[in-house]
Amino acid sequence: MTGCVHIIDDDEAIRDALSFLFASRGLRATAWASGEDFLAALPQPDCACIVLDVRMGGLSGPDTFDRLRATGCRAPVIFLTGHADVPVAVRALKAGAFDFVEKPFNDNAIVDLVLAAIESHTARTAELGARQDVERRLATLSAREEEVLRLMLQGRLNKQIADTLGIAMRTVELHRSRLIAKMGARNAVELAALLSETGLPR
Amino acid sequence: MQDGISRHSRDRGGEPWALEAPAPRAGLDLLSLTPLVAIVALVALVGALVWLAGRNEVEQVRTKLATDALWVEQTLRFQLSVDEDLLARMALDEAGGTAPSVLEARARLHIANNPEMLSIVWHDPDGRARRAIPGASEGPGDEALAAQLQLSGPRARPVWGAIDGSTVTMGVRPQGSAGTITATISLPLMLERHIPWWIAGEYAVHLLDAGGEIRASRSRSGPEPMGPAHSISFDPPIPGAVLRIASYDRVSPFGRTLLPAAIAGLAAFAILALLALYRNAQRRRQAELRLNEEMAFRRSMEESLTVGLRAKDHAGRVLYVNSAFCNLVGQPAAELVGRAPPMPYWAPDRLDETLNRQRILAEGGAVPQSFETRFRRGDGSEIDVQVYEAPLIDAKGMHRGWMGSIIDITEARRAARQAREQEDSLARTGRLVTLGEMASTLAHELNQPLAAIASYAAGATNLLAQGRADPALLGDALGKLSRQADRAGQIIRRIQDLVKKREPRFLPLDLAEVIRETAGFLAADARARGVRIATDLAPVAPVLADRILIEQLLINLMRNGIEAMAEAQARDALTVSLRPELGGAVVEVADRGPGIAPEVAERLFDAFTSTKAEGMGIGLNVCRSIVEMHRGRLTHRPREGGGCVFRVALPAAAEEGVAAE
Repeated sequence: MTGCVHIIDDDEAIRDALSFLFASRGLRATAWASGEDFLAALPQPDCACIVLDVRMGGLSGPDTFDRLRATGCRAPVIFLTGHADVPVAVRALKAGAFDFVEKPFNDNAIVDLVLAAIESHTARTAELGARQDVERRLATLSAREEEVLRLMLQGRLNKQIADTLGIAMRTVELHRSRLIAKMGARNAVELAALLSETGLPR
Repeated sequence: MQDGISRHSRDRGGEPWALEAPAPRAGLDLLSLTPLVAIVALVALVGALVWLAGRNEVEQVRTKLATDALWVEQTLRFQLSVDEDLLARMALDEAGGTAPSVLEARARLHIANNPEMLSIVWHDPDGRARRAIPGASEGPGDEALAAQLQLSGPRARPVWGAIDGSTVTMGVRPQGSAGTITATISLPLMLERHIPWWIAGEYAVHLLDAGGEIRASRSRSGPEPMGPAHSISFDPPIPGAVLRIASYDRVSPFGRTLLPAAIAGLAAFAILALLALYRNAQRRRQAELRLNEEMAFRRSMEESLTVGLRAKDHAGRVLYVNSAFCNLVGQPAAELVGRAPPMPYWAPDRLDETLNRQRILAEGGAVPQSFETRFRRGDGSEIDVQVYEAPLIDAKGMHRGWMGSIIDITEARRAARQAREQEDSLARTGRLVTLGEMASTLAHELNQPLAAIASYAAGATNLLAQGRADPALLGDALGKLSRQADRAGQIIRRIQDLVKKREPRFLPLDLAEVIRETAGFLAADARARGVRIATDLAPVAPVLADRILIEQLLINLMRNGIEAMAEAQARDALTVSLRPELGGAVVEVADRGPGIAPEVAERLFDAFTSTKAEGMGIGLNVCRSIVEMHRGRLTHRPREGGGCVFRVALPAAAEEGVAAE
């Protein structure tokens, strides 16, 4: 399946129970007894999701979260909160946590939440990858090709583009076919779709 | 440090507390030296005196000897000169023609008077004896001498011959005569006759010839004389003769040696005695020093004690107090020592008790006792003391009185009292303060096992649903699940222990005081939330109530009010009022909070209804239980101008007791 879920909680029973629960849904889980332990073990390349208890002896959940983000780890974080810790969890959400679950949680809700987090993270990662790809390709265009592309996106015809740029129609066609190839699209329509998806070029 | 001390004390053979030994003073103690000097001087003087006396005596003996020797010599010379005169006269007379018979008669007379003259002999010119007095048989005279005289011619004085045996002969040749006259003198007889007994008693007198042979002597039989001797040449008259006088009486050994020896011995003895005395004095001094040190040390120990010490005799008269005791009772030792009871430091309200205790102490025999009492200090303040009385046994083993050690326990008592009070109030406030916090803790604590239980259950369900029900795996999970259920149960039990159920104690209670105290207790908390607490208390009759429960009730109601007002940021004060009412008293807590919504008001006193984000919804529930336990009523109504009023009505104590329930 996907990556590994990391459970950080100072209560051994919770760690064990959650590991069991995730395993029952086919999720790989690794449990850590404290935030310090987990931070010391970074980086975790296949880290898909982090389940983090708010109230822990030593480094608290929010503190662990802050340090985690400082290391550049972008994995989704789900907080486990008690009755009185909801405001803390809300603050964590604002700081970029994926979600929080109130203890005692409802049987499979937490697993569903973890799966959703993984999915969304994967999607986000893919989207990000695509965008970076387009950007890389755009960077390979020559100045003339870029001008041609802008005018194309404005819906100008080849003839108009040629006039605007003061170049031969034949040359425009040449630029056009080359930049489409460079952008990895099969035709102008596909190129337009690709660029609109990523909102480029700005 | 420690080591140094112990080594030092080992060196001195003293106690570990002994002070440094004083550095030995340079030189000996002058005082102890004086008798020694005196004795040495005395001995020297006496020695000198004895020596001088001895020398004197020797001098005297020598002088006396010389004198006596001279005297003896004079005597003998005189005698011989008398004999010589006789002979000279006879020679003269013979030359003058005196008849021989006359001369012979004279000679006879002389010999009779002077027995040492053995004989007088007339010789003819060829030296043979012609006549002799007393008889011819009496020695032939000295023919050699006579012959010699014949040759030498006449002379006035007689001439002496050599000593022959023990006699000596002198001869004279009368003028105009062809013969010579000789007289033979027995030396021993001469000595015998002319040395008086008092000389003979003292000296041995010898007459020696030129060869040193003794020819005559006058001495005692027995030992040779040991004393000094004096020799005088007796050469004229007797050629080569020497007169030697030796004193029997050697200088007395006592005077010469025994006395100095005795004195030296005595001096040595005196010095030894002195040394012994000195050593003894040293030892005494050291003992004294040690005693002083020990006394000083004991005194310093006594003075450094923080425990008061007091010795008293059987009559209760104070024999001794240490400084700690004086500080304790705030009076100088001079004021206390020698005083008979009653003591100035006895607390006046405990006089009888103290005197009674004295009596018991006196009657109880020598058994240590301990008690607590109160002393009154010199400045009038009072202190609590713990007294231990132990029998004071003197050096003879007599029970002389009592030795008391007194410890000030005022502080300790106060601290204990405070601690007790604090504990009480802590227990009280703890019970009250933790109601809210406890709820939160309880929730969190319970959440852990519950979350674990839910997860195990969900996991097991998932496995079952997927048909992956491995019995071992499931069994393990379910075992863990039940352990977590146990844990949850334990948490609940622990909480119950914390909120110990206690039997309520209904006693007459002054509500105003409880309200004041509670308001004081909450004041800081209220200030922190920007809320002021105002009280409006009218005098009311006491109610029969359990103080702790009523405090809990009030704290809960007031805290609810404070929190509501803090939320609404109200300006007004939280007002707690107390009013008498028919058959009891009414307490009202009025806040300026947001008030209570009508839909909540219905369920307000139900358990687990809360208007607060973090409320557990048990506070008011508990409050109502408390009020109902007291046969009272808890109600609430909206306050005019916003807010809410909680009203507690409690029956007066005079009504039938509720304690029976």
